[in-house]
Amino acid sequence: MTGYSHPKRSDFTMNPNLDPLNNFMQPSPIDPASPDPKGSFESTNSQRDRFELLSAYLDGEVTATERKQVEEWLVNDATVQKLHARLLMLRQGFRSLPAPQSSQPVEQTVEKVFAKIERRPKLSLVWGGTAIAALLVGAVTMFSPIGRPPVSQVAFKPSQPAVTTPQSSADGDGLLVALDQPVLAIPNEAINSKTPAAIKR
Amino acid sequence: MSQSLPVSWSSVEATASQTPVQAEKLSNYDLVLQCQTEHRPEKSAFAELMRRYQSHVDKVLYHLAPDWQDRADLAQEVWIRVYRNVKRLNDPIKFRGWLSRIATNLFYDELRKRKRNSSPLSLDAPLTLADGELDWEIASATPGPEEDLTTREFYDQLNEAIADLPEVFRTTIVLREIEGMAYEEIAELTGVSLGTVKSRIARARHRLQTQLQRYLDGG
Repeated sequence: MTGYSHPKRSDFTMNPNLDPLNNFMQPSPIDPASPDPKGSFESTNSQRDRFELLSAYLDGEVTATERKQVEEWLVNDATVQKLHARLLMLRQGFRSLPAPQSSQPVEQTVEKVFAKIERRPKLSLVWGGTAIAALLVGAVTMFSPIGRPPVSQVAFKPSQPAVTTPQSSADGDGLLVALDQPVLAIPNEAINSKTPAAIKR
Repeated sequence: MSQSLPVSWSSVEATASQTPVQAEKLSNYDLVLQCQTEHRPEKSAFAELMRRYQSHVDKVLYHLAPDWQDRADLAQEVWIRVYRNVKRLNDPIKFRGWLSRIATNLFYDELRKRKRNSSPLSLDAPLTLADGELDWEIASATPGPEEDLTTREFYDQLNEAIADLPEVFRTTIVLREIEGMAYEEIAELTGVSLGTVKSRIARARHRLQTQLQRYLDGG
C-alpha cells in the first residue's frame, strides 16, 4: 500500500446500465445508481477503473478508501468475486510457473562464468598496474625535490646496520643473520644455506 | 588456556578444508553469507549459489525477453555482476530479490542498446503507441471442447500468453508477479508514472485472465 491517490477516483461510481465490455464483468447490483446516464465511453472507463482497482487491491497498492470499496464489492458482488478468484489463480500460476528449459546446463554456465571471471582480472590488472605505475611516477616526481633530507636520513639510518652486519662478519655468524633476513642475504653464504631455509618453511 | 588454543586451531583448519563439501549443505541464507566472507566469493560456494538460483535467473530473463536467443550469455553476465557485488548486499535474506534486480537491470541495459541499434523508426513508434497497443476489447470467446486440462497445458498456455503480451505490458507484469516488485520500484525502473504502472498491470492481467479463462475458473 503506497497511499498514492488515484487520479480518477470520481469515475469509480459504476454505471449499471450501459456496458459494452461486460462479458466478464456484469454491472454490480449494489452499485449506486449513476446520477447521470453516461455514454458507453464513460462506462468503458468505469469498468476499466473497477478492474484496475481490483488489480491494485490484489497487489496491496490501494488507499484505505479504495480498499474499503473493493472489499465491499468482494462481499456483495458475485462478478467481482469471480474475477478476484480468477486473478488469484492467475497469480498462483505465475508463482508456480516452472522455469523454462535452460538453453545450457547450469554446470556449463558455472564453467563459463568462472572462465570469464578469471580472465577479466588480468585485464584489469594491466590497467591497474598502469595506474599504479603512473601513481608511483607521480609520487616520485612530487617528493623527490629538495625539501626532504631529514626524512630520508631517518629512513636510511636504521636499515644501514642490518645491511652492514652480514658484510662485517662474513663467516659462521653471518650465516645466522642471513637466515633471519633472507631478503638481504645476497652473499654466497646465503645461497649455500638455501636448504635449511626451505626446510624452515 | 594452553588447551583451548590447539582445539580452536584444529577446528579452524577443519572448517576451512571442508568448505567445498559444506557449501551444498548450507541453507540459502548461510550460503550467501559464505559468499560474502572473503573479498571475492569462494569458488565452490559461488558455484553452489549458481546451481540453486540459475533457474530463477532463467525464469526472469525468459519472461522479460522471450524472443532473445542469447539469454544464456545474459545469464552469465548476471552472475559476473553478482560475483563482484555480492559483498555489498546488506541482507542475505533479500538475495533473491537482489538477484532479480540485477537480471532486470541488465535486461534493460541490453534492451536500450538494441533499441538504439535498431531502425530509427522504432525509437518513436513503440513508445507513442505502447499503451494503446493493448486495448480492452475482449477477444471473441473461444469455448473449446471440454477436455482434461492438465497443469502442464495451463503452464504452456500461460507462458505463451505472457510471451504474446506487448513488451511494456509483459515486462511490467513480470516485474510484479515473478519478481514481486512494488509499483513504485517498477515505476522507477521503467521510468513511467505510478498510474501507468497500475494501468499496465491491470491491462496485462485483464488480457491474461481473458485468454486463460477456462483454466482459471474452478480449477
